Order: sequence, then C-alpha cells, then structure tokens
Amino acid sequence: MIEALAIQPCAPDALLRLEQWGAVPAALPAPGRAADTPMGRLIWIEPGAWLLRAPLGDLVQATAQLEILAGDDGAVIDITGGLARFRLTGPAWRELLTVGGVFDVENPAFAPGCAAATILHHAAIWIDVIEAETADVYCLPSYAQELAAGWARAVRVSANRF
Amino acid sequence: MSGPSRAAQGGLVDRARTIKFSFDGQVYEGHPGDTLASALLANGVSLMGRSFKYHRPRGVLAAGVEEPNALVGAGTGGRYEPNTRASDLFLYDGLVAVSQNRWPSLAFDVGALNSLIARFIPAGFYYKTFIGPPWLWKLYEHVIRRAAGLGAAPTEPEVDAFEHRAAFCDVLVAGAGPAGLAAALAAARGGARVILAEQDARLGGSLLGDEALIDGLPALDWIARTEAQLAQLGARVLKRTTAMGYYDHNQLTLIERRVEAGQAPGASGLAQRLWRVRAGRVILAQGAIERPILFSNNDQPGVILAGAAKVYARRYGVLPGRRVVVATNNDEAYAAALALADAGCEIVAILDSRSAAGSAIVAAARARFAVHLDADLISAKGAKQVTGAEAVVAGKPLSLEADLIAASGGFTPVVHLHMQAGGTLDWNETTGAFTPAIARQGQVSVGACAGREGLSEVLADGWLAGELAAAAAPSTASQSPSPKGGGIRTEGATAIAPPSGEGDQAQPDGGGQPRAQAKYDGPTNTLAHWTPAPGVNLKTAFVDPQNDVTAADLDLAWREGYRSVEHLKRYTTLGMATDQGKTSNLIGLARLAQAEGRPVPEVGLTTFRPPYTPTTLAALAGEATGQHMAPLRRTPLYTIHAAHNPPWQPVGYWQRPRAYPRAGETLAQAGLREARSVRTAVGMIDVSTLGKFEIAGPDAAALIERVCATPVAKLAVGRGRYTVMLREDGMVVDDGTVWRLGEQRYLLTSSTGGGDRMVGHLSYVRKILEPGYKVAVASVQERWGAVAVAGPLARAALAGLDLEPPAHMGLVRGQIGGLAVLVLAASYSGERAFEIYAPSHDLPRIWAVLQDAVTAHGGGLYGLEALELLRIEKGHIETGAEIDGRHTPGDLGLTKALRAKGGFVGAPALARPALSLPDRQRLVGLEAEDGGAIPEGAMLLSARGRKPEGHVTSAGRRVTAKGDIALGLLSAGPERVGETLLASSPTRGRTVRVSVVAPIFYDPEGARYRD
Repeated sequence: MIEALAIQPCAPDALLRLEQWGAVPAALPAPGRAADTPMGRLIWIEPGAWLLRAPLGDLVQATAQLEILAGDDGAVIDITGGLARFRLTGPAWRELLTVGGVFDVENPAFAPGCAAATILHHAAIWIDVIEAETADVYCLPSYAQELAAGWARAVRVSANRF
Repeated sequence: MSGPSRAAQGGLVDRARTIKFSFDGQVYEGHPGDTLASALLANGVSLMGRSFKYHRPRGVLAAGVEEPNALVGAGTGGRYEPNTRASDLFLYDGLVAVSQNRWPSLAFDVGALNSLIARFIPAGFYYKTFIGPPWLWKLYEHVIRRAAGLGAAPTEPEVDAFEHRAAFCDVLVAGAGPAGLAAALAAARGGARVILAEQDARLGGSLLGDEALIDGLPALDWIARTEAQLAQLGARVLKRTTAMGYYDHNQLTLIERRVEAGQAPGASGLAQRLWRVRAGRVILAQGAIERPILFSNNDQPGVILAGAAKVYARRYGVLPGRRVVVATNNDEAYAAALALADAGCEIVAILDSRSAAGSAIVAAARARFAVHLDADLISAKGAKQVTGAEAVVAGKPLSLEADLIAASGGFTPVVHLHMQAGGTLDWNETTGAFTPAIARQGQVSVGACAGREGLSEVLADGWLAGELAAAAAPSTASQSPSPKGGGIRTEGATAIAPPSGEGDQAQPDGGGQPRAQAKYDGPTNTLAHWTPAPGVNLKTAFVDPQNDVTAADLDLAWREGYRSVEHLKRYTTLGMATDQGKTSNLIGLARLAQAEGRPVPEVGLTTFRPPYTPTTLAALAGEATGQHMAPLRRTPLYTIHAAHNPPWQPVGYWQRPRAYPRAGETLAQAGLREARSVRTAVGMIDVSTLGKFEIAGPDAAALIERVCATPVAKLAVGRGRYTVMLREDGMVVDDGTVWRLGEQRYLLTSSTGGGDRMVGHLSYVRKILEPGYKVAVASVQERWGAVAVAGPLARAALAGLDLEPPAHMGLVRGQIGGLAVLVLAASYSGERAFEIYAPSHDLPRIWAVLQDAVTAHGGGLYGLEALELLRIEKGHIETGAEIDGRHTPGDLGLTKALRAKGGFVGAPALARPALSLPDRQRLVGLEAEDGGAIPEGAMLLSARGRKPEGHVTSAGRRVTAKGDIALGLLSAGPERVGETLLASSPTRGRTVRVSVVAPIFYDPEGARYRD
C-alpha cells in the first residue's frame, strides 16, 4: 500500500571515497556489498572504490581512520556534499526502483548488506540495502529534486501497487 | 433472420451485466468480456471499416491482434487512439469508437469511387507518379498526401500517465495459451522466477474456445487452477501485456495495457506500462495465425477466418452469421464448423480443397453437414455483405446461399520474436509454414508457434520447455551461444514427449505434466493450397486487405521485375500496413515463389521488426514527457536563482540563469549591465556546474601530466594553472584549470558542458592507458558548489569577509560565514576574480554572505549572457563553441602553452603533418566594420558566392566600449589579420562585413588579473 512506502531525504553526511589500486584490506566489503563499521557505513560503489558514510561531525576522524585503512595502496577523497541520500522504507521500495530502472532490484538475492550502482531515470544512483524493507539510495544532488518528483509520480500512478 | 447476432446462450461474456458503447455515434449495448468486434456483431453490425486505397467495405476477419480490416478510432480528446483493432479492444462502459478512412459515412463512402479507377492505381502507382514532368508530381502530391493514412492522428496532448519498468526473471513466457501455461507452470514448479505475459485480457489462448478437458477439468477450470498455482508459486502474470520486441542479451519489451484504448484510467492515471525484461530463458508460446484463402471478393463483410468464427461463437456467444459456408484446407476448420453448428448456425457446406480427408473430426462433420472434398471457393457473392458463395467441386460449379464464409487457408506460426532474436526458420512444404529452427539467444518456441499441433502435443511441448528452462536457471548465461556460434537448435520433436492422446490419465492434483482429454486431438492435417482456383478474379482476390494488395497486384509487380521479396513488399505495400501482414505475408510470399518457380524459402522473408503489434508513442516515451522529457539538474543555488525568475539557459541537463533582468530590461540590456558591473566594480555568478576532479595518490602528478597538455607537474602546492586536455587524435576535448592541493593531490576543473565527457576521458586514461598508476580519481563536480566573484573590487569584497584572497592563480582555504571554503584565484572574465568552493549543501548560506559583500561594493549578480560578453572580449575559448572537437591547440592559439617535451594524451598525434598545415582553420577575432551584431554561426566568406573559409564561433559586443565583436575559426586565420570578410548567415538572413583581428579584445597584457 502507498502508505507503506516512505521516501525520506536525509541530512548531509560526511562522505569519503576510498580507492584502492593495490591489495584490498580485508575490512572492506566485497564487491556488491555494504557493511556497518566503527567508522560508519562502508559501501562498495565500483571496482576498487568504496564510499564511507559517517556523521558530518565525524568527518575528520573518519578521514583519518579511512586513510589508515587505505595504507599505501589507496587514497581517500572527501566527497562530502557530492551525493544526496534518500532512505526508502516499506515493502514497496524494490518495486519503486524498477520504475525507470534497469537493475534487478527485486531479486531476493539482493538482500540486506548488498549494494549496487545503477541508473534510474537517466541518473546514476547507488543502492544500499539496509534491511529487508529499508534501502538507501544515493544520487548526485543536482538530480535529487527531479528524482524525488519522479518517485512521487510513480507512487501516484501506481498507487494501487505501492 | 440473417447476419450476425448474439446467440441465445453461451460464451464467456457476463450476460448479467450490460454496458453501453457507441460506434459512429450510434449507441449499442454489449457485455463485459466482449470485444468491440464481438459486441458489434452481436448488434448485427458487420460493416466495421473501409480499406485503405479502394475504400472497400470491410467486416471483421479475425478475432485477435492480426485483424487487418476492422480498425477504429477509440476514445476522445487526449485519449483518442486511432487504428485500434476492434477485435483487440475490450468493451468498457462509455467506449466511443469511430470508423476510419471514410467520408461522409461508413455506409456511404465517396472514397469507394476509387474502385472505379482501380486500373489506374494498381500496385506501385505511387512510384509511377514520379515518372514524367516534375510539375505533374505537384498535382499528384496534393491528392496522394490527402489520401495517405487510415486513422486520423490525435490532435490533443496525451492526458494519462505511462511508465517504464524493469523486470528480471529466469524464464519469460510470452503467450498464455495451453503451451505457455504449461511452460510457465513447469518453470515455476522448477523453482524459476517466472514472468508470463499474455496479450489477451484472459489467460488460455485457444482454450477459451475449446471444449477440451485437461487433467480431468474443463479447460476453463484448468486455466483458473493454473493461474492460481502460478500466483502461489510467485510467478508474475501480466495480462493484456504483449511481448513487442526481442533484443540482444535476452532483453524483451512488453507493453502492458492497464486500460483499454480511449478508456480513462482510475485514480492512478496509469494507462500503459512498458516493461523491459531481461530473462535467462525465453519461452515463446505465441500461437499461430490462421491464413485467409484467395477467392474473388474475399474481403467482403461476412468473410471471416474459421478460427475466428469459432472464437466469436464459443468465447463471446456471438453468431457471426446464420448460414455458413466453411472453406478449408485443414481439419481445424471442421472444429469451427461444429462449434458454429452447436451455437445455432446452419452449416451450408464445408468446402475442403484436399482430395482426401479422413480424420475423426472430418468423419464427425460428414455425419452432420455436406462436406465436399476437392472443393475450392471461386467467389463471395454480395455487395456490402456476403449473400452466397460460388465454388467448384471436383471441377463442377456449385452455388451456395450463405451470409458467412468461414475460411481457413492453414496456419502461420508466430515466429516474429524468434526472428527478432536472430533465429532461423525451417520450411514445411506440406503445411506451408515456417517454423523456428535455430535459436541464437536463450529462446525456445513451443506449441503452435513451433508448428506443434494437437492439444496433447502442445501441452507436452510447453511443459518440457518449462522444465528445461527451470533446470537451466539461474546459470543460463553460461549456456548462451557465442555471437559467432551456430546457435542452439531448438528442442525438436525428438525431445518432446509423445502426444498423450485421448484417454490419458488425468493429474487431479495438478502435480505433473498436464494431460489433455480432447475429443478431436491431433494434427490439423493442413495441406497448403496456394493457387486460386480457375475462375477466381485475381483483381478482387485480396492478399493484404488492409492495404488493398491483390493477387493481381503481386503478379503485376513480378512482371515489372520486382523479384526480391523486399522490393516486392515496398513496391506493392504488401505487409506494410498496421497489421504488418500477419495474415497476408506468407500468401504473398508463396505467390511470388510460384511466379519465380522457386521454393518459398529461396524467395526469402522480409525482416521481422519490433513492435509485434502497433503500440502508442506514449508508451514508448513513458515518463519522459513534458517537463520530464529530460532530467533537470539543479545547482545548489537553483531555488535562490528561481526567486529572481530569470530566463534560464539549458546547459546539458543543467539550467542556469542567463541574466537577472530588472523591470523593463531586455535580456540583452540586462546582460550588458551585468557585464559592465563586472568590468567596473564586482559581480558574482554561480559556477557550480563546472566539471571538477580530485586526483590523489603517489602517481597523481604523473596522471595529471598525461591528461593535461600544459606544464603542470611542477606546480607548487597552493598554485594553479590554465590547461587544456586533448583526445588521442590531438584534438582539444576541454580546457580548465589544474590546482595542486597537496604533494600528492590535485584538483582539475573543466567546462560545464564538457564535465560529463571528462569523467569518461579521465576514466579512460586512468583505467585503459595507465592502469598501473597508483592514483585515485574522483569527480567532485557536485561535492563542490562554486561561486565566482569577479571585478576590480572582487578582492576588496572578499577581504571584507576576513578572508585573505590569494594572488592570481593562487589557492587558499578559509571560512565564509563560519563555513569552510576553498578559494581559487582564477579569471574567465578578464578581471581579478575568485572562485569560492564549498560543499554543495553549504553553498546557499555562503552565497548569501557573498551577495551582501558584493552589493556593498556596488556590484550584483550576473548570468551567462554577461559571462559570454566578458569572455569573448577577453578572447577566452569555450567548449562547444571554439572547442568543438575538431581543432588542435595550435588551431586555438595555444601552441605556446603546450608542454614541449610531450608525454600527454594526444601529443603523438600533433606530430602529424596534416595538423600543422598552414591553411587549417585557426582562432581569430572579428570586428564588425559597419556596426550591427555579427551573426553567431555565420560563414566567413572572402566575397559573396565564394567557398566558406571558416565560421563565427561566438559573437557579442564590447562591454564598456562600442562595437560588435566575435571569435571565429578561419582558414590560415592569424595570417589574415587586417583582411575584410563577409560573415554571412543564410538562416538568419544577415550578412555583415567584418575585419579580421587578434582574438583578444580586452587587456591583452593580462594586467587586470593582478592586484
């Protein structure tokens, strides 16, 4: 039901991109995976690259910790402000992301702890499955308003399904 | 009583409920479950359309999507949909349908006079109009264009919602007849993720008109049980959903009709949905299409396909006629005869072109009706409705009184999707049918579309395919053939369990392969019979009734030399109507083959292209309409800009303010005022859209040197430099600035328009050209929102914010309003300028602080118009104007800026002699000699009528002085300073005399950059 799906824009986070060109530390999530760590939420975003999301106030500390993790085989780039985050809550979040999408988001194997980079309505997005009925979607801030409008439209036209 | 009518009982329509609809303004009643065609027949209406060329009266020929004749416009206003098949339009209360291609009315159509001049407008007449004096074509053109098309195009905007959705599955089953249902059930039982798409509003396909038992249940009950089981197993069943196209990598598109054509959706507003499905395996179970027979006047209302007549009788409870002549070359039409007789029709005779027929169903029919073997139809009698038939039986004429001719010329398996997927076909000479042979993707065809006949065989075929597909999931990818491989031979008859036949044991629990107990199970025994009987008038024997292509037309085209089926198709328009020749193509092909004296397969087939059935453009557009035509990218300051209600400039997907006009100001006036403010005081502009990249790691300097063509590696930390980036062919791809943030960390900026391209370029250099570099690259375009503050008072404005502005091309970190910022001293305007970078979510607050400071110094905001005037005057090049992907750094006056030792991407290419030729188009400045704006994009000519030697890339005017100026690319440009040229723009109708000058009009020494 429509009321079962909440789309919540999130407050700014500290966002750090870690790119590894050498050995990948064991603490980093495997490709297609995400995990909660003491530093924050670590999400695989593309081959050799991860995103760390932490509270905005923890930026300096998180940067230092991530640089230690990167060692000599990686580098950390602060991309705070570079992504907007939505939290989708409700059983219909998967169906919502099929509208205008191209990714197999309804696959049962795409379970909590999984992450994916894909596109939605022409815009690049990153999906982080938090719980069975909760997922975070990241997009470029410039697309955020348009994406939210598209979701609102999708919810409206598919009100009998969401 | 004669003509069509509702049977006293029977059918799957809801007789307890009545709904009203109109056709050509006349209000009728029907029942839920009816199609428009069945409801019209039930109301005694057999005339439903007019043909394209001759405007001949037409009734319904089929009962499904293959209908070529009964096309209507459905709905009104923004929901109007033309060319809708009455046989594929389910009735709803308030349906408004109108006939097409007639004037003034369907019953009396003046266009029918075309029949009188038929000899002058045969096949290919359109092309023949090109022969002769050109002026004559002007006469033809007017008439031909008016006559073209069937339904009127909608004139009002679409009012409903359409959307695109993605879906993935292990097994996609297209078609929910007996084979498709069995396949879907087997696949779902095997644990596969299944999608079942059915174009009809009900599952069942041919079973909806069948009396068979399956697993001991009546067919309808078995369908219902199967549907419930599929739901229980988690299969996604999509009704009213047509598989339209089959593309590479097992991607298919489905169109789901949420409402009927012209029908208002519910509160959701969703009319149609386009599914993009990626499947591991695809089971095609789309059935077969019955073919008509060639005889004189075979297009009369009252001539119908035998299978369709059976569907109307059994499914819709409609008698399409009372006195029926059945003409056939197969056993299946006998089932139609029995069904029609059971529904209350009189079967006048069955005319069977075969000389022998002895199956059980033929025997059963012989016991009830007159059955004539070796019998062919010669003609249908009647004007606007069949009144009888002329036939020849064993060489002797036979005249029959009838109001319905139910014809069956055999069956054409639906191989469209199989062929779209790159499959090949086998030819069955006996039945006259192509069937799938080699499948080059993950598809398999089952049931009637694979040439299977008989319910038991069809069910077994579908079941086995479903089981195999489920067994292959989810690792189907490993079984995909290589693109160059021979493909996968479709599971042939040897792999199919033998038909179970009558009396097989039922499976009461539905736990295994469904078993049929059909009274007349078995093959159709079709014996292809292409040649019309002697005496048939080929000029009224229609092969393609929608486009009025007759057998005589095909013969004429062949005589005129059209031997290729592709040429024949285009010359005659065979199969080019909205039905895409579903009932006609094979008949035409066979006729061509006969004329050629070659087997049908040697003549070849035309290409099967999506969509399988006509679809609306709105469904293809989906959500991308109106303001959602393309995504709108907003800068962090979008809302602030919008409060000024500025004229917007699309830059890629971005929207940027062109200016901030004051009351009464034109755009040009506002742009000039803002530019002057920058030249004389200070201005500020949102430059968040610039491309920005952070590059970090031990090899950061090495990567920067590969990407940037200027010397950059020796930059001190905290310093920046202008740079250009080249493609491997030596052409400039973008320009920007590079800044050293730390020992192993750089910031590279690029243009707004080139930002996305630079993402790809950097990725290419990093991952393909230099995969061994120890470096990280990230686009920080939106991490940093940015504001440029420019003008002679810019430094003072920033200094007032307790910020120590850096020297030109310097970089400092600081705070504005308590928020961290990065300040880069770079200028695009030609004035002392700074770019203030901050995390995008902080930028609105920083903008407010800056605006106060700028206003306090007598400045204000400026937009792209002012920016353009400023940079043209300064001679700064722009991506999309001067940087157009066709020019080298040398062309753009940047040779001195290049790193002499090379090593950057594109450097080897610059050594090619062709890139140093003196006559290459190179950057110049242009001044209007006689006043007046120089047209942007104008050709540069040495004199009227001479060959263009270049063009104007950007044009504006001097900001504080008078005069119109421009930048341009001119052959041997710098050597031609002082020449006078013409800047001529035919599209704008303007020609201006211009002088060639140096491309920097303002402060060529760069003194104003510095404090």
